[in-house]
Amino acid sequence: MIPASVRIHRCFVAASLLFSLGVSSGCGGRFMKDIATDALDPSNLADTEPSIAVSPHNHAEIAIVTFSENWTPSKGAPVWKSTDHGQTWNKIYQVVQPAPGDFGPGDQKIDFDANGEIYVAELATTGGGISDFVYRQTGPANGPLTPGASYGNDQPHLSVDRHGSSPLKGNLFSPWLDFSQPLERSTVAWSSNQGIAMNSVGAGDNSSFRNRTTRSAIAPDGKVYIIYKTREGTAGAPPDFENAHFQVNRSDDGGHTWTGLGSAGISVHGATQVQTYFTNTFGNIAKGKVARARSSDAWIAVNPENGDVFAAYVRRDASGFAQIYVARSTDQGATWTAARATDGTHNSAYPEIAVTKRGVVGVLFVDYDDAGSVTLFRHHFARSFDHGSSWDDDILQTMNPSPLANASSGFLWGDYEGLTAQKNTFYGVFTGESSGRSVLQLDPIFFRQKSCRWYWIGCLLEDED
Amino acid sequence: MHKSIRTLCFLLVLSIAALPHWEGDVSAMPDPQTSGSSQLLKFLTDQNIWGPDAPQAFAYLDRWKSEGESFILIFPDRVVGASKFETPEQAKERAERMSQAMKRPAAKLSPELAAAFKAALAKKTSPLLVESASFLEDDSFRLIMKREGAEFLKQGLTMSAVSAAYGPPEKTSTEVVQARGDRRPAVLTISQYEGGKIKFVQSDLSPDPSVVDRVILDVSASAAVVLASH
Repeated sequence: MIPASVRIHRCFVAASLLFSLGVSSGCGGRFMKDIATDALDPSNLADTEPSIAVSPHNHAEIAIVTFSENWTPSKGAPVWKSTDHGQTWNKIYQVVQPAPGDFGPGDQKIDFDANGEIYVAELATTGGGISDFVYRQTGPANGPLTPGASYGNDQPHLSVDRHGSSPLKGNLFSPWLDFSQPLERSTVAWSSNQGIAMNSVGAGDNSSFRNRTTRSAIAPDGKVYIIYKTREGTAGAPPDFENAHFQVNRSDDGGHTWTGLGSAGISVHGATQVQTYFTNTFGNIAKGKVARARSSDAWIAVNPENGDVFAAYVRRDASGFAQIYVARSTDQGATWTAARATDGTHNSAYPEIAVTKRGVVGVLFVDYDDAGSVTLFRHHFARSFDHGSSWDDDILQTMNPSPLANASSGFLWGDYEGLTAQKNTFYGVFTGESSGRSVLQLDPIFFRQKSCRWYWIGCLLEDED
Repeated sequence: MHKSIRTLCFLLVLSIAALPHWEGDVSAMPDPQTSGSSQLLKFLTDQNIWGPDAPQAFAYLDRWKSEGESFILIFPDRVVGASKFETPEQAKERAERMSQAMKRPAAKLSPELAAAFKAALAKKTSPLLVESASFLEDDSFRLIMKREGAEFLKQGLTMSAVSAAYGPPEKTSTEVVQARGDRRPAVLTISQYEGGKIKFVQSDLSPDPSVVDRVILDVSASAAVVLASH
């Protein structure tokens, strides 16, 4: 006979364990789908460098751009669209050639405004050079999009201010890298009229070092943040890595100036340099195809409710591996606390970060395992329910790209992929191994995952619409 | 006659009788050099591949060779040297030197090429110009030969048309062309014939990736078959 005190103790321990589990873990099933089909992708294109956006107006409406078909003089490049939460997809050929003779899409990024109207930043190449354009909706949702003013250069990104609380709601911001400077500079073009006029402003500190990897996020109060890296040479760094600082700066005036955190911004990891990737051979080239990872090492997001800022970045640490770190600022970027999101066992890169309205943080990233005879690349989705202090990590897909005919060594999925959040759900897209196709290949793989604690009753009951 | 002498005579007669057949067999064997050259000449005289201004460009293959270019890239609207220069100044210096060399009369084309492009060559055209320019694909600086409105490579030539005419390529490979920045790189599909003397290139950045974006020519091998002096 077990004494009552022991039974009570055991009961208490069990209850404590259950309570801890409930407090520390999240819930929410994940839906994942290859959005390409033989009918939609008859040429078996690689669909690399995907970007995703969800209409704040109607969360069933999701849009993705990848390097699928190019535009021609008579036909636009496609936007992949779903109107049923990602269950079914179509290609809408609405990104028209911006000017005769322009080739593209080059780089691209997609977003929605508060009214559910779509915007796409596009890079076009011409005989004369490179131009960026922000496309906007001027007709039906699936009609041809209209390009705005030409601006910019390398790797345009895009953030549209859709916060009801922002005094600059409707403004848009497009970071890009200015190669016309002696040392490349992170630059942000802003527009208060949907991209019809674009105004480019130098934002990064290139007084000593070249900039790279510029990403943006908008806080609910209308303040705009960018993260970028300063490339500080390779002294002491192993092959494929360079020394860097990841700097965050803030604009408090709609992108007119970038001095909210001083002229250079604030390093999210403090004064000490970190080592990050700068390579065309992410992976093990002796064991298969490899990927470019040069501006694939930072991302930024803002909590849409309280304005906390989160920065994800790559740092090769004492583990000897490149790891994903996440830094959090609760004071508009002035100070940062960083923690490692990965487990110190594999080289990792390509972080994208997003935050739900209840403050769950999600990071999409890629690592590789070359312990066997081939290099296996693994897309991960890690979530933190405690503001980035600890992480639950799931592997979305493990892939050996070598047998995939449309996987080009040197540019496998692109420089970045797509992750966003609406309400309590993460929406992501990565370029991974196809499923259900006649030919095994690279395809855009969509996923969404609602992310609540077990005891967030309102969150659990909330419809994704 | 002694039996051994009779046998020897018989063998000698047999050998003499067999000699023409030996020679015949030898002369029937394809000469790899000739065969390769004639096949390359077939490519270079094929008006389904080249635009009307190609022979004018071919006539300056010797100048490309003098400038140390081993390969040239023939696009529909221009001919580009394969050598990559880091700075515009380096490319400009070479372009000026080649422009000077272009002032000398063009080399005489081989009778086969002249015959194939008789109509195109009969037309009066303004001279080709050489300049230095940035080559956006990899952000290098290159020598470029062009003339406003010229068509060197046939517009819209598809790789399937090339394969239909010449059979499948000996080798197909892909190449990712990295530039200074991180914009989308061109992924080239390179289909090789004649041991790499002629390569047909498709680019995934083209509006229609099935179209041949450029042809890469081995300058020495091509000059040897299309220039009369060679």
